[in-house]
Amino acid sequence: MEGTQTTLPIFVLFVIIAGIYIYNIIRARKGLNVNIRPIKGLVAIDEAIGRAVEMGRPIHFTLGISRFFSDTFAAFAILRHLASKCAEMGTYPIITNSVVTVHLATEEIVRSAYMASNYPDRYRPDMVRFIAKDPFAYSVGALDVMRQENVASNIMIGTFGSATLLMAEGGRILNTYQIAGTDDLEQLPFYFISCDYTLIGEEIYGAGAHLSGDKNVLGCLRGEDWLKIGIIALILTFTVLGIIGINAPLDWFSR
Amino acid sequence: MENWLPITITIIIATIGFAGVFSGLPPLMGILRLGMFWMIIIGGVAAALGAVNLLQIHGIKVVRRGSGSIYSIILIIVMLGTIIIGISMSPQSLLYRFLFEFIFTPLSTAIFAILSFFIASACFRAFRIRTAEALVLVISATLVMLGKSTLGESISPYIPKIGEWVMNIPNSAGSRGILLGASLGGIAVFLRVILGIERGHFLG
Repeated sequence: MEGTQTTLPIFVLFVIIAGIYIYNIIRARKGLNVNIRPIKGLVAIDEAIGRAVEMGRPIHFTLGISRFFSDTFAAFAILRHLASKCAEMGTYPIITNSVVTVHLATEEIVRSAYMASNYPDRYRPDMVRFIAKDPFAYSVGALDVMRQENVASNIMIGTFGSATLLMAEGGRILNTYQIAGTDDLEQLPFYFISCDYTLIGEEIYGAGAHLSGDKNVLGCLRGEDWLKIGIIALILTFTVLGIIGINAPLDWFSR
Repeated sequence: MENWLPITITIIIATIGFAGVFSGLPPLMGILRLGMFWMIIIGGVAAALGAVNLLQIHGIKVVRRGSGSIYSIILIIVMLGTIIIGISMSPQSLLYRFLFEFIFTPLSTAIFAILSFFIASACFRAFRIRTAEALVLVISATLVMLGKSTLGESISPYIPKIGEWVMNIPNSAGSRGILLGASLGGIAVFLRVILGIERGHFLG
């Protein structure tokens, strides 16, 4: 069972992390008040919807080329909020997809968000569109949809691989109000340059708590803060131990 | 309550996957492989639904004869043509390979080439010094770029060292901080999925 030996430290870490998260989820569900700082990029999503309503134009939303990764689930929370708000405020979202399985999920999210709103008749099946699997073909197709539909805002949560700059700069040339977010470090600089607001890494995971007040996500955010403090303490402890020549604990984790 | 079945399947598969990866037990790994096999089948069915969606959207455009409907006609013809050629003549056939190697690949390369112009315009905007942060960015970027080229070494032997320091210390610290936060967020999402409390993709 060599695999078990090598993964044991990771398993121990996971159990600790999961324990902290579950404890905080339970506390949040029981009514613990969790304050979260306002994230500019997430506040800007409502501004983007307002802008689209004022201009009488739609909003473009995309999840990039991600295939049901953690950032995809975070993007679903944002899409759900966007679709509900659009249904209530009278504008409409256009969602373009590059991954077929994600396309089916987004179709369901938008449809059920409209059905749950006061205006289910405003739902149109052509709001959610599959473009292409190839990142470049997708980006060009999505930009063409944005141009033809004359979108007011463009929200991009996820990564487009090598076509990220094409998408972000293309949206900027079309003069759209752009909000982007990703946990992919290599794509972040492109978003910073081309977009009005950028959600950095973990900020996209806070979307569910920020936009809908989901107690499960709120609990996770609190757990995340605890873990960050723990990791900083761990780094400092290992550094001090390393300086005085005790390397055994670090070696156990590095196996 | 109508979503209990997909939620239950998600919890079971995620738990088996998790237990399989950590324990390495052959029965669990077997189930995991079966799950991956089903993922391919579902992906194939979903691909067909994606093609149907494309046909629907562009078909409506053609019927309405709106602006750009000519492109929709071309798309439908090319898509159906490629599918028919692929099925009737196999993807290894000369005609199918011609479509891929002499039409798709050059078009894809042409789009990739456009990126160089976008990079130039994005760099120009990024390097405009309007704030103190932009000044720091320009100075550090210049030092890193000079350090990576022979020009930097010829100006001063310290430039490559400073460039390396910028990449190894401040850049690594910042990026590792972002990665740590994103990883913790990712674990939180996984945990919510495995516990069945992440339901946004089912309930909308």
